[in-house]
Amino acid sequence: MNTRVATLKTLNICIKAQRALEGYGYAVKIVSIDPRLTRHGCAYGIELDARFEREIVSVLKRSGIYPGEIISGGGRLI
Amino acid sequence: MKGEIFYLDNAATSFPKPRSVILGVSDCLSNYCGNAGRGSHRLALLAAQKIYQCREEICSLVGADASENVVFVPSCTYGLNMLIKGILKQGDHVLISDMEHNSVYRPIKKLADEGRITYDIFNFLSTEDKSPEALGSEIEHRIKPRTRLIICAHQSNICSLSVPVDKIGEICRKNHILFALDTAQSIGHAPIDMKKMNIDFLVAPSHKSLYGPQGCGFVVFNSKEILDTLVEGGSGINSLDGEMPRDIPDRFEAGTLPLPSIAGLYEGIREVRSLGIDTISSHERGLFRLLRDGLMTIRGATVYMPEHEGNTLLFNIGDIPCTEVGAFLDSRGICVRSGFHCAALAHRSLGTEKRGAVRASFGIFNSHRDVEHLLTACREISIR
Repeated sequence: MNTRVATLKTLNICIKAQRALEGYGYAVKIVSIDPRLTRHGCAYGIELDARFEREIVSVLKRSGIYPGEIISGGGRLI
Repeated sequence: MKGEIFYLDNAATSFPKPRSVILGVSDCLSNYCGNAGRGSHRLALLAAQKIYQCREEICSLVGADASENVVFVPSCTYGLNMLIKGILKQGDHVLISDMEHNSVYRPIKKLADEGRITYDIFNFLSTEDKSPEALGSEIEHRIKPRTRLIICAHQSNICSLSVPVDKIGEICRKNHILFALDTAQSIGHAPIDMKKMNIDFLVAPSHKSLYGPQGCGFVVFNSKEILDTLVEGGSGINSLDGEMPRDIPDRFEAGTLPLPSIAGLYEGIREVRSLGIDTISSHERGLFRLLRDGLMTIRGATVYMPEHEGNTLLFNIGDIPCTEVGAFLDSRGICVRSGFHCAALAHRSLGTEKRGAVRASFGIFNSHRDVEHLLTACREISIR
């Protein structure tokens, strides 16, 4: 599966995003982002199926969750 | 422990704890006690998920709309200090009530003594007319151009009197003043809806009427105000930055969170919600009436604020020092609290600032038998 990682501000928001997406049938994984890819050090995000990127981002925004960047890879599963 | 215990000191901390709380803490310590947000392994995530669940429970309990608005702190006192010192700036004015616990009064007084703020105390406990309208006039009369915050206890910690929160919220909204509510003695006993009541910040402990363990409290934000931090440290994110993140809850959660305590709190809130606040409150008022009416038959007994029924009853027996009454009750296996209850303002308002008083406070595990035992002991000491 081709994946992307949506960066989110906090781990709490990642869990909130995961639950919101589950409600719409999208399974995502919370990942720790490679610190080399971030400007500020430790960060978290959700790994998603690249095919549904647009829909997933749309669901997140409707839930009041605004991803930072969408990056290719760099996330480590937790 | 030898002998039977009659625990009537739930306003200090609830005891015993529900079995679900004990099991919840044990499960956490046994199975998933990782450090939330501090690693990329499964236990760190399980820990974070439990914390998230607890934030959600708190939101449901107090009518808050987002889990990220719940900030865990080491205690209710810490949370109140965090708000007071994070909100108030040089020259600001703040209003508090005449029944505040020292966890509000002392930090406010310290800031005022240092010349950083000014404060006024609005009368409620000490007034005869306790209607919302009378309180409204009293507060509006004391508002100044630099009044930035009203912070007060929802319920007194020495009796069962509560402030009309809706009225204070309405005044704060009208005058663009922030409203922070200390719910140490009311959460779990009284329904609270932050949005409907216009409460900007709510502070509560885990270990009282939510039946969690000691070691954590929480602050719920219903305001976009960016507050100064009280302490700084690791937050698990943006580790290369020299400053705390701006986003809550992380901004105010420096250091490792007390996961076992939060896991216990989660179960405690579920227990309270499952029993129902109305049922709990009705049970406690029944015990209050039994104790109040029984004490009234004892010669020399004084019950303070007897008309305000609830979970907390304050009394004295004749001229016997309250500490002596407390020690005697302890000899009969009864746990109450005697003295001034860290509430100088409230005792001054009630006129008990010279001698203090005895406080009995109820919880979900108390029964008529506990009250009858206390009454028997009070009768005994009254005729010694």
